[in-house]
Amino acid sequence: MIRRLRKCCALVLQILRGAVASDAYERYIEHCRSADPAVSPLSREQFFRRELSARWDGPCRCC
Amino acid sequence: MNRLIGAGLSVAAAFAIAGIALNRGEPINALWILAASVCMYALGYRFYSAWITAKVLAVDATRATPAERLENGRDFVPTAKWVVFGHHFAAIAGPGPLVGPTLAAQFGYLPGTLWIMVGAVIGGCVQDMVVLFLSTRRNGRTLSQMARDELGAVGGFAALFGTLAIMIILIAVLGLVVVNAMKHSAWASSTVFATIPIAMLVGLYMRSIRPGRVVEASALGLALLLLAVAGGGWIDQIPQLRTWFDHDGATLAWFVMIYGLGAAIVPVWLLLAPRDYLSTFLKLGTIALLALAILIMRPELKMPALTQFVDGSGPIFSGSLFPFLFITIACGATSGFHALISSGTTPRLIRSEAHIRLVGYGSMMLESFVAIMAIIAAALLDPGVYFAINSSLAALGGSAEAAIATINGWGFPVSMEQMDALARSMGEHTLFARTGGAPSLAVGMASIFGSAFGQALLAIWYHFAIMFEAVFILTTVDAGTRVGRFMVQDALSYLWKPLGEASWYPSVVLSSVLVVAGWGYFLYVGVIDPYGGINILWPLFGIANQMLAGIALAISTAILLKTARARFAWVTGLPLTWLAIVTTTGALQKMFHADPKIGFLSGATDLAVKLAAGTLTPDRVAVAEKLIFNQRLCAALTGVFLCVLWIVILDMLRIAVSVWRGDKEWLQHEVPYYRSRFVEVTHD
Repeated sequence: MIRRLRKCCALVLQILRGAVASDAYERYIEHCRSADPAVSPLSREQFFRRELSARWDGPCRCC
Repeated sequence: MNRLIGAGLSVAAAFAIAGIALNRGEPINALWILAASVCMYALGYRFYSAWITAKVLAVDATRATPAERLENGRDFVPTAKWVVFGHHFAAIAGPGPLVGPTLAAQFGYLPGTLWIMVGAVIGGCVQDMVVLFLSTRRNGRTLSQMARDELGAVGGFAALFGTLAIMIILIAVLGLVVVNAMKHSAWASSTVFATIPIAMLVGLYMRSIRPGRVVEASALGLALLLLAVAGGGWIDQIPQLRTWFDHDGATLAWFVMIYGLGAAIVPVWLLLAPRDYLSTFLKLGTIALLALAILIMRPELKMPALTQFVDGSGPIFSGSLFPFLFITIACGATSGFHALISSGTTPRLIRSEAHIRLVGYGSMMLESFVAIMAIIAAALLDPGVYFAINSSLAALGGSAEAAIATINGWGFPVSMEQMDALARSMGEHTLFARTGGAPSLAVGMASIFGSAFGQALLAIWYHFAIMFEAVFILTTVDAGTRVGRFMVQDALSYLWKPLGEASWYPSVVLSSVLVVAGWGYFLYVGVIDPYGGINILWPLFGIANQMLAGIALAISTAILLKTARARFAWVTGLPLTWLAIVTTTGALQKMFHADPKIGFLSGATDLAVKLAAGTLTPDRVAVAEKLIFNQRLCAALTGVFLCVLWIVILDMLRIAVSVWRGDKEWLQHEVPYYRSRFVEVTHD
């Protein structure tokens, strides 16, 4: 029962995370590490400034 | 085992739908509707969507998706299944499924409920999933790019035009919904205004104080929003402050336009991004709360299953059940706009093709469920109250007293005292003629929340619901204006290259002004309309949305026809046929119907005749010229929508005939097969 509840909570958290892309930076770091370890990735602040605004460049919010 | 579950679900669905259908004449419990819809969705998901993914689309989990092949850590990112689901659902779920069903409840709760369930399972969910699949197989290309590749330049241009047109009409009609909710309500206006500095504060927090900490900043913002709801009640009590926020429709429309322009010009992090985060949390939270409250309260529906207005004489919008039900409820059943989300951003996050079913079909099911809840919230109101809130005074005889008499004459009891007491308990001065659907939904939600979680806070719940709707309507306004701006800049770059530069400020301002002027004009058209404006703009929006759905389904059908599985093209061809029928009938009726309340052109003629004869009241004479022009403009626009839809359909039929004759090998533009690295990992 408790395990199922925990699984349920994890699911809800995942949905929320997807909804606002709060883990965008973590995913970016993960990508940088696997792609080319020699290139130093942007800091959290730089990433937020440069990359996040692109999220709203295309149709992203519906009727 | 599967068969057993399926049989059980079918029996349960049949039982619940029969329960709804047979319980005529006595009030039915909302749980029946919830049960019927959940069973329908479960059946659709378990069987229809599984069959489509396996047989029609031939989804291949071993095939590498663009997120994997083109991974760049920014837009192409292989993402966990439920995270993409959250992303996609948050993107497609907007205010549409809340407003449309509320308005369509004038036909009774039954037609809307059935159309939402059937339309979603056979139409909307299929469209979203198929477009998502096709775009995933084409490196996440957008709808108009796919149209250009698969249909040709004409189809591509039509899809692009459709996208821009629906954006303009959507923002205008949603702006009108917010304006009508705030009109002469200091509490609602001050709360909605307060959301702007709150969003900016959250934006500053995320940029300067704790960069990129979305959840933390949003929690802070949400707390402030709740304070703003309570604070609005306090402002409403103080006469000096009250006058600052008590405005008529035209002034509020200007505020919304200035806001939209500002939000499109200032950097994203300051206003758009934080507001979007707040609205997403608020949206998901409120939807969950509403579902929970309906389960706790188990309200009885007071609206009859069918009303006399199926004949087209309805006070909220004119036009008979067919075709106007299917145009009024677009979002929640089939929404063309979703095809823009399903192509473009979401496919770039899909990690495995096996996830497409949950993300595409599943998200739309949930959206459709939101529409079902909206129809419950409308149908649990006393029908008399529902019509008093949602109809314009002009449609009911001109004054509150006349409105009461008219509604009682229809056989729906309601009294002045009842409306006054209701307005008082909601903390408003009047609830008469609050057209647009938002106030009526807020009353419904407040009654649900009130009886589930305590009656004492009714006024707070009402204004919470208004704030909730306004926040995510304004998010659509600014996000839509921004997207429209990019499209206009793109178009302007053909005239003069520098105008296409996304960061050149004069071009940014110019294109933003053009977009805001576009939707601002239609918003203004709605505000000055004596019948409340929704009766003009909502059908126009519905036609635009179904036109876009028609375009998306036509592109999908054309692609399916080119594959080896052309015999299954009816999967998208069937909803396309239905949408083509309702959109064409609806558009023709809106243009040429002889009843001046339905047909734009006869409406214009009727007004011109009355103006010439001098039978209009002085305040109507002042706006009559504008109204006549607007009606003709709306007729022309409807005609353009219809032409665009048929251009794409004929383009698709051209391909169909040629495939059938076999006179040409048709290319389809799928990216070749690469084996996925994730294959061993992905079990689901």
